[in-house]
Amino acid sequence: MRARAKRRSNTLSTLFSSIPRSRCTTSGKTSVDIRSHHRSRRCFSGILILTLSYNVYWQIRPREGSQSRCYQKLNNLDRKMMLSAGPQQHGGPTQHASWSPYDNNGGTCVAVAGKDYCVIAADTRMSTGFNILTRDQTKVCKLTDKCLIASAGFRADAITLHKTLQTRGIMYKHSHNKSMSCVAMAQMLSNTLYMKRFFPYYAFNLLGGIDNEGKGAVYTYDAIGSYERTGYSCQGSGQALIMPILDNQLKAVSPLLVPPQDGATPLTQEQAVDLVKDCFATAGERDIYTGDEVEIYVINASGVHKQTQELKLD
Amino acid sequence: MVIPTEDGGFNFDLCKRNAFLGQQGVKGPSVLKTGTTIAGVIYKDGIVLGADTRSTNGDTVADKNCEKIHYIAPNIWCCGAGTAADTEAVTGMVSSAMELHRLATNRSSRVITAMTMLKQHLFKYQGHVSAALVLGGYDHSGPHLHSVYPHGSTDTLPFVTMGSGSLAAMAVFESGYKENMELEDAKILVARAIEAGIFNDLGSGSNVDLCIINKDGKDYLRNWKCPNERTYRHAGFTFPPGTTPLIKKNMNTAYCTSLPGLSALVEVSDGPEPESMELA
Amino acid sequence: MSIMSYNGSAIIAMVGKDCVAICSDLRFGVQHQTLATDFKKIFKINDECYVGLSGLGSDMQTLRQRFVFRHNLYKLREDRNMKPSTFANMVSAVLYEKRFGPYFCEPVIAGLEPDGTPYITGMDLLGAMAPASDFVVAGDNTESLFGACESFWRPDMNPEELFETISQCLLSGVNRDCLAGWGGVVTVITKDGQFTRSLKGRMD
Repeated sequence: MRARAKRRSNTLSTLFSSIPRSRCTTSGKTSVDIRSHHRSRRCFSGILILTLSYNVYWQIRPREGSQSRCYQKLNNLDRKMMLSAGPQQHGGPTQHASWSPYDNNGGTCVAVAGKDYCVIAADTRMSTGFNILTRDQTKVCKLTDKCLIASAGFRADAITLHKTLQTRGIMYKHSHNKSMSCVAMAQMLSNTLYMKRFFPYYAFNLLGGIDNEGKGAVYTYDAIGSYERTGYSCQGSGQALIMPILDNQLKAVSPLLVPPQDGATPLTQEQAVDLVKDCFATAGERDIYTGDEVEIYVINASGVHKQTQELKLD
Repeated sequence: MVIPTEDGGFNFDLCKRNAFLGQQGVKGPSVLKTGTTIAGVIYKDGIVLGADTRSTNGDTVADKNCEKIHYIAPNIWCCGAGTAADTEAVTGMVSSAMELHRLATNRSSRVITAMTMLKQHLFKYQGHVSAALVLGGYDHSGPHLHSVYPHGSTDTLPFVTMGSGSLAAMAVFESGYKENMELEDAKILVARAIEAGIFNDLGSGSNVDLCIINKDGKDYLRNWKCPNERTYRHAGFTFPPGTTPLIKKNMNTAYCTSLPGLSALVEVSDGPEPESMELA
Repeated sequence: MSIMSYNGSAIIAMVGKDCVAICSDLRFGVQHQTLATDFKKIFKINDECYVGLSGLGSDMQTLRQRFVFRHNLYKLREDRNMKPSTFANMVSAVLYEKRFGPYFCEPVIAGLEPDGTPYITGMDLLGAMAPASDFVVAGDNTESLFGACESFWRPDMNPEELFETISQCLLSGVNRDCLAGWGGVVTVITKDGQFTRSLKGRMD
């Protein structure tokens, strides 16, 4: 699919020739929408919706006596969780039918890559339903000296994921005597997510850092590991609010541009931080799950620098 | 063309079509809700009503500064939570009925009348008109405060809260309410209750509206507190003329099939002076 | 698939200094299939009042007919145009009449009141008015439109600035929306008259 798309965009050279194919996108809200509502240049990422994939499992689950390969591949813990979460089996554990192993804790993450820096930011509100659980929960995690991850969605899954990545990063360092590069970390995150293809982490991730050439890098993911490197990206409950602002202001590296432009935003580091702050203020105005405070991390040659900006508390 | 009837009341023409569309698997639309914290207390000389100003559509804020304290009569006001259209319509209907009643009887309105009309209307629709109300007013028999539930039941209490932030607001009332409060204390208590909803309930937000009703009349304090100003604004997103690519610069303005005014169709001229009538 | 995004639409109205603007996209489709790219969703009621209708295409056109009909009756009876606030209340009443079997249509009304003050209001499909002093949006992806408007709007814009701002908001807002876009049309209303321009947008 991907190869076909590339061929097509090469042969047609008019402005609108390369049609951004829609992919089923996770909208970052409680319900994940099958309607491919947002465009991406990626042609097809074969994404089943989280909640759906979970249900689908129960439709395609192996009948008694037959064990499909995918079923065998699931580790024991997953299997246990799914058994307890699924429709009640004859003689199995009793569970309320509406119970879900997932929750949505909301929140928004933004990342912007520059020529020699990367800005990655996330708000600190954690909520469920109409309740705020805490106003001070960081969504950002430092994986290496040059690589940070920010995740919105289900906090418990995000924490587990961050912990896994950190652990693997340390193991890599111990066995190779060097830190994992940002590019390698990006691939590993994808692999880690896809490992749980049929019982995914309900986390929407952004990876930001400095690549091997010292350029800013932003990697954006869906919940099951489809990823791409972009100049900027946004994930979480405020995604739809923030994306048009970034598109408008960072046209030069917009993934919507045809032919695709590779590289970083033309903004200076200060301008990028300024833009990110405004994006969060905007999301805080209109998205009920975004607010309280935004943590902004700037990664550049001199290291990782953190600053914060207040948001509305309502 | 079907001439619209002037009967009033609901029209169910599209129900069958919409139910059919529902059967075909299309999802129903979402409507504006006022997630809402609304509250009211009785103080020494009257009533203080309070409301937040956020209206939501799903997870997004549709209106950051809407008015939730509705007019019923000069001496009766009503906070509304629930489906925005229902709270507007139900308070509007009752207020016009009360106006006509005042004109017919030449007496000022009573809170109990408004409450009865509201509950009878809501009960008739069995909760499908989803309006949760806090009704407060001051009439010849003193201050009255009621809460009206969507199914038509009512409460009469010295302090009430409604909406998704009602628990947060009630917590403040339960801990801070005293009998025979002074006006200033009552205002601060209600504002604190509303703020508890604004900050702790995601369905409520933005500003605090208050409405004080006593024997001297009402004092509607719109945006009495604004604790949620925008925290940051980018200095200059400016788009100089010519930024947006155009296809056509001067188009005929969107087409219009409405009639020209009557005076454009007929010529009105002054006729000859009418002859004076002969009086035999 | 919600019925409100069956045909796709995006509408914004915005307030400037002594002027208002209203714009819409031009797509008409059936779910993901685009059928027309010149489908107007903004209708002129009179020189000082425009209405934009988002949602289901058939209801859009039915409602337009009903609004124009009622506006005509008003003019025959009163020999004057409805002012935007009056028109908005009429629209609200027409929609709320069908509370339990609604039209799948969210209107946006923009215009100038007789004293020249700008008036815009949005409405949900049951007729709950949400008048605003800055901007209102409607359509199948209001979040994107809200995001763009919330960042780019500023007070006291003159008609040309207002035009550029609302155009950028519309184009940015529909950029990632597969159900709306395919160009846009903007009308700016000032007390000296109105102008309408069509925008070049992505055709995919």
